[in-house]
Amino acid sequence: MRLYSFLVFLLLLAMPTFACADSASSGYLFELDGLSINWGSGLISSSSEILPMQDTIDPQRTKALAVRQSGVKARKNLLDSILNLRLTSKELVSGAFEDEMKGAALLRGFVQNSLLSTQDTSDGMVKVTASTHIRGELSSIIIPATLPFLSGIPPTLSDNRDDENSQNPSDEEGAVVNSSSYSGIVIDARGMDIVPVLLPVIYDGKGIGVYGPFIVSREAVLKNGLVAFVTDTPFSRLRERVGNTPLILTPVSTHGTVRGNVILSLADAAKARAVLTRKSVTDNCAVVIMMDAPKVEVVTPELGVDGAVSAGSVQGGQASSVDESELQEDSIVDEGTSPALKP
Amino acid sequence: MIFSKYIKKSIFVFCALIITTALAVPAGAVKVQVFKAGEEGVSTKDLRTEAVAQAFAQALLAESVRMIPVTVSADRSDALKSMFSNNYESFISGYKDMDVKYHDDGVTIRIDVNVNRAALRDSLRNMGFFASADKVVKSAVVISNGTYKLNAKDQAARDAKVKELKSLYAVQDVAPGTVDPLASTLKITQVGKKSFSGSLDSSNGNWQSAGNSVESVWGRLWTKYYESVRTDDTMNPKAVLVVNGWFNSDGVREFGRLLKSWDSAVQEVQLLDVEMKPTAVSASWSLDVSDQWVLKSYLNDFLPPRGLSYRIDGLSEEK
Repeated sequence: MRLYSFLVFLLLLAMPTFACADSASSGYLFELDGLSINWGSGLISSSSEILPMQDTIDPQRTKALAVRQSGVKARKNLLDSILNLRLTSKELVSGAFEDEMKGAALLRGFVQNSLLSTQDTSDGMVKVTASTHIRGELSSIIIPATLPFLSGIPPTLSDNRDDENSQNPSDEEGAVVNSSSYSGIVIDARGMDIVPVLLPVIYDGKGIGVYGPFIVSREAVLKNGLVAFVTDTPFSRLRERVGNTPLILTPVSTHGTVRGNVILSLADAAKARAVLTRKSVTDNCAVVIMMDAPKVEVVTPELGVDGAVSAGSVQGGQASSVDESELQEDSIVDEGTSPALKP
Repeated sequence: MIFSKYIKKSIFVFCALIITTALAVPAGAVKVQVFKAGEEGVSTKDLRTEAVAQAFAQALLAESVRMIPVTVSADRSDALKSMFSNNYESFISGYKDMDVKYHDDGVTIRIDVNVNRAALRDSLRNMGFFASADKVVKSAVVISNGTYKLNAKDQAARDAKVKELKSLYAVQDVAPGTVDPLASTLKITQVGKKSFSGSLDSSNGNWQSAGNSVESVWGRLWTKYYESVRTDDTMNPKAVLVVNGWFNSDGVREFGRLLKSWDSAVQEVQLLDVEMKPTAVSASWSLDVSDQWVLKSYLNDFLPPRGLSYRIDGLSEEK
């Protein structure tokens, strides 16, 4: 009975932890060749495995060399993947560093101080994983300070928007929403093949921005990320991000070179705008985009007529775009004592 | 009964954990809370302004006490707080989370103050707070009004200011003409309505200065004096931090930048050496450690999760 009471008490203490399960565990997870990006929690990691040279005189040194070679590769891949993140629907992170030597050096230094874990696999390999959070300090490096946040001026789509717009003409503006009754916004974009980007824009049916960097502060974006991308999951697991009573909307279309932006109907856009008048929503970037789980197969990117690329192929397809850039530095390898190559 | 016993034990452990965690969090902004009692004839706005100034002074005093390697006397501490009350702008780089609560009898301010530690440290050094083991400096102090006559009230105010300056700069007044080879002589004379000139003669050197107040001339002369004895300063412990485990020098540069930002724990950070070994890159920095526990807390939080190890050479367990 005593033990039972104590266990009940411990359970009560632990309850809030379970109740506050955030979007991290349900985030859209992109995985490819040891690279993993969780668009819910913002955790990005890269792993590399090396088989240390066998039967050496100094196994400790051999392992240290293997850790180094593997770590160099993991961090190189991590830097590559950061540079290949989509900043907006039009631009990659690497684009922001083209003429930014200081920022590039800062990013390299940041990645070289990323979290690092080492483990020995059952087949005798040394596996090193480098990881970091997109949000926080990394965001402050990769999101250009020159980008206008909280400008209050919504962006508008270009004239060729008509081709992409599948807006239902019967939609009407004017839906009345009590903003105080909603604690955040969930955009249910499942089935729309959208691609996660760091700074997406949500437009209305007339092509006028509803939500994006123009409506939130840079500090809020650095801390929370503009949106969290999650996969098919119960709404209760998104509570920490969007509160208990989020407004759930279904977009009518996507927009952008890689379908990084979504378009709401006019009625839904009016509702969203009402909710976004709440300071707590914009301060915490309480917006989540729900999408389908990533496709398992890797597809070679094929640019369509409108420039759109299918989800799941984008990250992998772009991985080589910065390999030759000056942002990457050659790794230092101790020749002559290099571990055996990966079989 | 047993259940409540468990609850008590668990709550105790829980609270201990929270307190330990809170103490382990490295110091960044200085958190202060002050209450300013209301005064008759003082508006709410003015009361709030005074309370904020008091909070800034309190934060600067707290940070100064933490920074100064020796224990400061009560008189000197009071003089320092009084100085900060009137002159805090140059030492405050910002503040956040200001919480103002008005009561019937006054106002309470709770605020997180970001201190410009480099400026504060320089100023404290100029006032002799790092001089040898908090010893006082014997000096004959002669403040002359020259041809200008002060009324009793102004004279009393000036005398009080000089007394406060003596406490602040650890100056012990000796009678003029005293035969003491170690005693210096400070003379400040009013030469115009708002013009003063002064000289300081000491065994370390002779200096002259001019300014628009006794305070400014006093400050300049004693700053020169304390600069001349800087080699004898009671500095915070010098140590060498050696960090090992990077894969290239980019990480070293970034960590050096971060280390300099930990100015609540270390100052005077200088990169000494970078060593490229086949297995890893290591680097060492020389630094003044003002709070080794905060430094170790920062290092333990940052380095091991990144595959880096460290050691600190030349540090005792005292400070």
